[in-house]
Amino acid sequence: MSHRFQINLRGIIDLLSDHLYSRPEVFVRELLQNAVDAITARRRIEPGHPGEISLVVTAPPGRPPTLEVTDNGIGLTEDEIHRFLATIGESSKRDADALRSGDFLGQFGIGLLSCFVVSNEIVVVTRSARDGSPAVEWRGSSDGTYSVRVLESEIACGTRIYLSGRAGREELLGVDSVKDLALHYGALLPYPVRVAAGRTGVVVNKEGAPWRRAYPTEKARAQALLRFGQQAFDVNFLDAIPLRSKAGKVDGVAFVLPSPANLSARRAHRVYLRNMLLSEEADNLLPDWAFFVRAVVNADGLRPTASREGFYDDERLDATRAELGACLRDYLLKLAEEGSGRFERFLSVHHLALKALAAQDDECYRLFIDWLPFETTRGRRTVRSLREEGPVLRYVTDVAQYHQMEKVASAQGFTLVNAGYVYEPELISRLNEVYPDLELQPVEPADLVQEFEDLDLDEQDRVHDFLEAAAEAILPFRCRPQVRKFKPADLPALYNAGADARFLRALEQSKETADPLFQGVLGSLESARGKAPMTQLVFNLDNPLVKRLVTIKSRPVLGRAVHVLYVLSLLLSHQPLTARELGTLTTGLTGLLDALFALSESAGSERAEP
Amino acid sequence: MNDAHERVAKLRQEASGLPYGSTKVALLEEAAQVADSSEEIELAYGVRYDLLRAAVFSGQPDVFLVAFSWRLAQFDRDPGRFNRHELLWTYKWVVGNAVVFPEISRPRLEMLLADMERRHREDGSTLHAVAQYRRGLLQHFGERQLAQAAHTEFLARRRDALSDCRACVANTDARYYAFQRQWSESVQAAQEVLEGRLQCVEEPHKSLNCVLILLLRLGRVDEAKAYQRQGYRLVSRGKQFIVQHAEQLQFLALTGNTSMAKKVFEDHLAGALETVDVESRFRFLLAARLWTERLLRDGKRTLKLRLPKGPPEPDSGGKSDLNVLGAWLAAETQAIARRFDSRNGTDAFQEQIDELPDLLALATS
Repeated sequence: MSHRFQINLRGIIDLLSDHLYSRPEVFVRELLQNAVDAITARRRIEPGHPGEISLVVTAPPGRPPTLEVTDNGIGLTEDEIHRFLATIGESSKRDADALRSGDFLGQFGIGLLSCFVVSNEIVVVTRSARDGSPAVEWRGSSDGTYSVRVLESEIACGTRIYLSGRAGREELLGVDSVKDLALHYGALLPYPVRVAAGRTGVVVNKEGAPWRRAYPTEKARAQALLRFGQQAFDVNFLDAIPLRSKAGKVDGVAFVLPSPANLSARRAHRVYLRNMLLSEEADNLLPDWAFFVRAVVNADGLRPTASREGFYDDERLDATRAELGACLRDYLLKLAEEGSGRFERFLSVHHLALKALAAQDDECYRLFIDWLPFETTRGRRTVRSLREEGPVLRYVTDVAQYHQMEKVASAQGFTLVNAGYVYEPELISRLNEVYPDLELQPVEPADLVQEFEDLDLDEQDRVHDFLEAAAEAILPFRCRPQVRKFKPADLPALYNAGADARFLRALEQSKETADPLFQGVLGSLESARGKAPMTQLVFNLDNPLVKRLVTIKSRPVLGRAVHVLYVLSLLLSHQPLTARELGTLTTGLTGLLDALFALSESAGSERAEP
Repeated sequence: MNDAHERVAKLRQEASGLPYGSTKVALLEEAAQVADSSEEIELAYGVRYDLLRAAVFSGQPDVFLVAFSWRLAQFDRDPGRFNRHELLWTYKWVVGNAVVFPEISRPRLEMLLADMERRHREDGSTLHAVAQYRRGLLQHFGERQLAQAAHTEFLARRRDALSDCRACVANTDARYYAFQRQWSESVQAAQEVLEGRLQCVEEPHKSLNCVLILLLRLGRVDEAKAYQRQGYRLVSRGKQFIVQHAEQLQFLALTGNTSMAKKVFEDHLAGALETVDVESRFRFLLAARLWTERLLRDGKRTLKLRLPKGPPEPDSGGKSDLNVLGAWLAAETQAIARRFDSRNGTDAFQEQIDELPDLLALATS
């Protein structure tokens, strides 16, 4: 035998207010939506009927505040009233398809349900605009009971809903709160929404969407839009770009951010669905390179997700995204053509966005690549200025390696481009598609050494013994010495290793401290990589210290000095140090200090002698 | 050493503004090196947290393991000094990041899991996460019965503070059921993620792509096509999503979307060949092999392809012979399968290769 269990409506509503409706404030959205839907339905049978919505707040002293929401829409018959209750919960979707199929009632019920979040009782007084039906009153309580009665009095067609503030939720029915919420959700609605307390009232959506209004001049338009952007996001934007899409029936504005966007942040846009606010956090509306704007748009042709936090990702959204992307792209192309300096200003803030766009769009790549700035050893330079400098462009695609080479390259007067940031490796590698004559040279630290001055035969003779001693000293570290002349002269030696060496050094360093289990894991990783190439330590014969060092004959002194210089060079190029290398530094320094002390002691004893 | 502090702070800040990827990792590697030179363990320990997290979510398992082992050693040297929960949380990434290297032996992988279990247990954990990762490891080995036992154990454990987020658990559940060939349970497990009700750093990216083939098996092609678009948009730019690129390619090949399949193949082959993650490479190359077989079956013999270094060069007219390319893919996947299967002591990878004809039978026109 089956039983029917009781559902506690109050409990369900509390659940709904926590989950289905992200915030209790949404009851205003639902009421407005019901009113708009009702007016839309009435205009279908009475074209040209002027819709009106009003929200009247009363706050009698000592009693809970009430809200009265009236529309002059289609209204409900007694029969429909019973039916709408029967369909509550049948569909949780409020979308255009449901409206078109005439499921206005189910939608109405769902909308009304959200009002229990703020009110323990809901009263609906309504009269249908169809075939002279009488006015009906529905009185529903959050305990799940309701009553219906037919009213004698004549009232205008439409619907009026009464709410009375629930304990703890009264502030939501305050006049300021209702006004703010009506503006928040309904600013774009096509019918006037009037909010009143007592006799004074205002139409909150008088202005409509600022981008749909006519302006005397382009400048006035731009100013009005920027002012609107400032109010909407509390940001002083650089510019406002009109957005339009046929596919999703979208219109709106994209605002250009005044500072570079954080690439890892979510891109929150404010979106309206058929002129009702849907979400302030929609993040899938624009192409992913469009992170330099925040947008406010209305969409008549897109489907909201079940959580109503954005649009459903379907083919139509794809097409819409492409069209909106084209609006932004055209704006950028126009800006670049104009040559008024505005493009440079845009670039100085948003070059990263432009790089992202160029990386994915062949035409934009061709058009923008010359303008794009890169970090180089001679300051920030555009591709154009790098091309003008000569037929060869030398670059590094690893940021850490660039940092390692930067100082020496710059002292050598060597223009080195840092192409290690996001999008940059692919942008640089494709340069030949547009500039086939440009010679692209990826640079490794070893290539840098090629640029250093060689020693003449005399000098080679002079450093011969030193080089032998140095080779012996650093061979255990799988490193080979060289002597060359290079700038800056205050740098005694340069440690040189490829990107792979950096990883292997870090591995070696971890292995030294790890427990046996992880030592084994790291050992396997090491074997997967194969044997590490030898690294290089390049001594600088232009450096005064090295000049003196090569004249020293004592092997132990040379060995210690080379160890110290070796570790110093590692530190300067930010290489991870192994414990053995640190140990070498200590013994090297101690040895040198010993020698120094011995020297000063013997000098002291000399002086002590008469 | 205030200089070091400033430089580390600058590099970390720069890295924090970037999406996951090689630039972020490179900057943090450099920050770790600078921090080391300051000889302040706390600083170096902290930076390596950023580094290992970036490495995990950027698809650089080797960098992760190196940074993690260093941290673990520091932690063990002086356990009271560092945050235990954080260490235990990151330990969960160890097995999954080690398993992709065929050089690391099976006993060693099992010891890593046992070490993690010991540490989680000592911390009073319900071992919910440990059971989940055990199930995952056994899945990789292709041990169906043992994995099922781990699954039962996983279901019996209560969630605790060390459990993965619900979105990630949903995804691993989906992959587990798919492994056991329970297609509709698998899709069901991913449902909340697919609907956008659960999300995290890696979700719905992974789930949207992993259900494609399942939906195809269940005959729900239209649904799958919608997820394909959505899924690709999320992973198209990320080099860490090689498995997802493989799932895209597999699905596009089977549904006959040749131009899109070509794009996915061309855009991501280089990444699959460069990665140190051999398992992901296997998955991608296997999907590519499925695609060439589909093209050959449809009577296509040659195709103009943009190729990186590695696969056979195209002929003088710039066209690739699909038979030649297919043979190369077969040899590559076979070689990787041998390495994993001999490490694992099972034939799970060979099985995936042998399954190709069955998969091809799912093809729609």
